[in-house]
Amino acid sequence: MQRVLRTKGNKVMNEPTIIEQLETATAQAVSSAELVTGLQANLDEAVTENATLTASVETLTAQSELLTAENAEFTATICKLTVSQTELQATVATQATALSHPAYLDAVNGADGAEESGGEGSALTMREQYKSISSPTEKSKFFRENKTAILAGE
Amino acid sequence: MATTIDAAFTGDIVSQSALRGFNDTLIPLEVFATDYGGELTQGNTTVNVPVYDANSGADTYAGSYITGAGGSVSNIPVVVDVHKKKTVSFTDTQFANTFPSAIKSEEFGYQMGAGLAANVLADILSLVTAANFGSAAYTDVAANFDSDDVVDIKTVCDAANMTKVMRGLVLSDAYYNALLKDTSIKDASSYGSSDGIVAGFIPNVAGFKTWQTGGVPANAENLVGFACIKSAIAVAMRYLQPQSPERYDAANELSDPETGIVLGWRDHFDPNTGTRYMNLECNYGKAVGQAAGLKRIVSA
Repeated sequence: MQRVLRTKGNKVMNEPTIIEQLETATAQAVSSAELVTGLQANLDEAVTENATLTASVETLTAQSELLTAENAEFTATICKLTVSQTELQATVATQATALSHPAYLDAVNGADGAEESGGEGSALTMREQYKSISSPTEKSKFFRENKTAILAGE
Repeated sequence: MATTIDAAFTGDIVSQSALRGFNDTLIPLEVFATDYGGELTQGNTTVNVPVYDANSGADTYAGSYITGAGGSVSNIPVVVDVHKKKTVSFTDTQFANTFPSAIKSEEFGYQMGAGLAANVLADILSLVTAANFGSAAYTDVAANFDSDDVVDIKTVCDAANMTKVMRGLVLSDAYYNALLKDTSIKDASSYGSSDGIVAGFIPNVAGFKTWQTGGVPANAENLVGFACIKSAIAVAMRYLQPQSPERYDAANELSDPETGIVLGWRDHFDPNTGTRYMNLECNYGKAVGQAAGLKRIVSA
């Protein structure tokens, strides 16, 4: 309800009453309180989320540290494997050289047997190696050089 | 216990041992010019065996290196027309009793080869006649033969202008053994080697490389040995390939890695009689080279 204000010259003026002003102020106060309450709620919620995020960060940090440690361990293992591979390659090369040495081949295959059968003499008996030779001269030579073994049935 | 061998491999042991026996017996042929190896592609193939006359005079250089070419080298045409063989046969029973032993197979093969070689050598030495090489350089019985006689033979060779290097002296058993009794040879301190008294072997006498042989032919020539150089006689050998080698159990060439001598080997089985036949064969030819290159030794 508005009160009709009278002024000089009987001019009517609309102006709130004290009560109305109080009611408006009260409403504003209530609204502000509700706003504060809402803000407090938001603040509480933000604090909770912050705590959650902090916990997540801590978890991730721990996981990161664990992965970093594992990575270092794996890197060390790879280094060791690389060294082992290099050593194995060197060993293989050394053994290949040793296995291809004429003295070794002669010992395994027999000097003429290896020559005549293309290095496969080790799988053949003396008699089989003799049979595989096609040249009459080489055949007689092989027989004489290995006669004892041939006659012995080797 | 002797090592046993399968029947298929027996032929290999026998044939290789036969080649060894043949080669050892035919060693005296080193004194002649030889051409071994290769294959006989047609009957009576003529092989030109080169001989070198080391005594042909050297030309004085006269501004070129083409004059005098061919003057000291000549070819002796040798017709390969002799075909000799040794054939042995074994029934199943004989084979079972003889060849399961590798050692027996080896011994048998060696004797087989030596037997064929003695026959071949006697035939080749049949060229050594008065008609081909003139009068003898020495005539006497073995009991009187000694190293001084070898020096006398050397004197005859020197007079015939035979080259003084690579001379050979081939003696029959009796004359070779007579030298072994000579104190200048059997006394190691005198000869310089104990080969004679220890091994019955005389490497050299008076500049001759010396061989003993049982292959001197028994004929009216009374031949018991000879001194020669390589150009005196030429010998050629070739392998004769069978028409159908696959029809044999084995048919192959044998070739000595040291001398190049070639032989043929044929091994087959006759199921009708249960008999296995092994054949060792030699195809060769011989020819007289330079008549002045050989001096005969005769007993009478």
